[in-house]
Amino acid sequence: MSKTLALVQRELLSLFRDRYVLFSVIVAPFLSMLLIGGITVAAISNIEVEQGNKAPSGLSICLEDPGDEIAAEVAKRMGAPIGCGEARYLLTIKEGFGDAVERGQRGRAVLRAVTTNPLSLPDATATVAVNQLLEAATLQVAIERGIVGRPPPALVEVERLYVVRGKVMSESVATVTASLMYALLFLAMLIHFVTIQVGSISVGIEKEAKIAESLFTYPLERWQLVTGKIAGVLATSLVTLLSLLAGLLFTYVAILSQVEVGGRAAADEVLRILGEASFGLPQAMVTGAALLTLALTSSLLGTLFGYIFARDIRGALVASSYVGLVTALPVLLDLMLLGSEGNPIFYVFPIYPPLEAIRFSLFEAWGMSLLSLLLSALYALALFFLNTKAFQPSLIIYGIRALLRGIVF
Amino acid sequence: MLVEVSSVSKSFGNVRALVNVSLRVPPSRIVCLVGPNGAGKTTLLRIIMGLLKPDGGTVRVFGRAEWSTELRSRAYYLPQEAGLPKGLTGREFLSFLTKIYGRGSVERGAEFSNLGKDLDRRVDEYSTGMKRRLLVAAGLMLEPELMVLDEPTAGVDVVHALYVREAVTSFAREKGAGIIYTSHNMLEVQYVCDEAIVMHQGAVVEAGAPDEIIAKYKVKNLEEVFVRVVRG
Repeated sequence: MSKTLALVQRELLSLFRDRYVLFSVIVAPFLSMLLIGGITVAAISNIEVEQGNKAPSGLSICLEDPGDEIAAEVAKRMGAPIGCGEARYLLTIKEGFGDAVERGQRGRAVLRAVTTNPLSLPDATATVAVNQLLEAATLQVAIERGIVGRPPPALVEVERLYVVRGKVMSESVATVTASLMYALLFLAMLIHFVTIQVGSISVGIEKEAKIAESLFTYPLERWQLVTGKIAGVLATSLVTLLSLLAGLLFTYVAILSQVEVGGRAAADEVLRILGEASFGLPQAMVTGAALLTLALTSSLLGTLFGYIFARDIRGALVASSYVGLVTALPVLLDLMLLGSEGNPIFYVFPIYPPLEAIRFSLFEAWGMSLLSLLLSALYALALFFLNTKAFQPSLIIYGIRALLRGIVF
Repeated sequence: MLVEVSSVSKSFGNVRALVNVSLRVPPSRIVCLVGPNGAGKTTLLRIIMGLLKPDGGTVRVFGRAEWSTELRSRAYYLPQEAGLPKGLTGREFLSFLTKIYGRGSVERGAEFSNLGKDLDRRVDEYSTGMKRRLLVAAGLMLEPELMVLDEPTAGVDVVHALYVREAVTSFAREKGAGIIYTSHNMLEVQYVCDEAIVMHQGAVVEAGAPDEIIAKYKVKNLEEVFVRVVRG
């Protein structure tokens, strides 16, 4: 055990005395969370989520079938003007909406946000709010009309979304939920990206300093070597996580608590969400577990990438940046398309309450990891067929075997 | 016998790196491998240390054909291009090795390295010579039964090279350690080695005490032997 600890200590000293690593794991994550905080505040300030049954300003509802009574009732309850003309947010309730609801199925509606900027956070949060409003109004109409039996799947979720409180939607929830989800996704993406880089660089440092050969002749088992390395990378990843959480905490406590949405402190709402039960545990614990899983997976992957690709630090940086960016694409894509009809995920998870956001983070984290593995396998195959010197089958086999032994340990 | 190499061969593609090489290293003896670049010295050392597998022949270290963690704790290998862990100070590196080997005194290592206050500087700032001195000192500090040193004085200035040679020689004499030593400095080989093994194109072309080899070739020093062997 003392040998493994010595290896971890050496790993941490090497990593934390590297300026790039230091910036990547402490400074950049903290600043990025502050940036998200700033954007969130701007989003909340720019969007008018009003109390009671009212919709965000700028919303207009278009009924594709004006004879659809249920659709008309839902539109009325949403409290937005009806019309199919120009509107900042135009919600079109599709034909057959009422029939679907009556059959206990999901009615279809399409929201089009008129924006010149696809990355606009206020637009994205507004679309989430409109979506929640639609779900809540539909639920109320369904309950009033006595549509029981098999409730529409999405509407079951709505109950958890603070709907049945005498209001259509709880004020501030939409914006805070959306921003919390943004923060989580960014957090997951950063953890993934930074950890892969650190893992890869850690091996790159070893190869560049030409100490790998010496290490193999020390009285160490291979699993000790690999466990020491992965534990060092994981510890660094946890420091990144702490830095991110510190940034997040600072953002929510110091910045967001100054903002009131619908008469309540936004930070209080976040704390309440994090304290809610999820899988029988507080939400915060589930989120923590998801992020730790991601940190561990990315540590393993980063180290593996290092063994496979990195011949030196620069190589490690390039390879891990490439792989990290590509594997983070699903998250980026989701962020860009969030709430728009172009996002297929929107139809799978049309509502983004915290639980879904966190489940989704987990899903994306694992998805990213799998994609990373796939990419590395493809890259290795390409190198094999190109017959370049960069491909070292023995090193890959060694890396995989050692990793497996490390995991078992 | 600490090391017994019998009829070892190794090829890399069409290149024959080692051809039927044999050597023995008993305790308290310094065996030097000499030869031009590409003669197969480093390949042989890597095979002895279990980093490469030979195509043919046998290698036994401490009487065993396979390395184990226990055997590795009795040996120390200084590769030709060995580096030091980035970010650590010289003292931290010595401390790291004492933890890995479970023995040795950092102060003793500091003394061997002769680096003084530089020992508390990060190894990234060291010159090549300083790194080699620290790596040799680390080996001496651990007091292994077998030391395999691939060009330990490469890049080390004359004064410190002399110091390294003396430290290694007295270590072998006093502690009874066996040492395999490679060098391109023939004067150093004459000074340090009990036995010199001259290699060329992967094969052993001459072996024996440096004085005996010099007498056999009827030349003034080992350098002339070396030149004659290489030029055929």
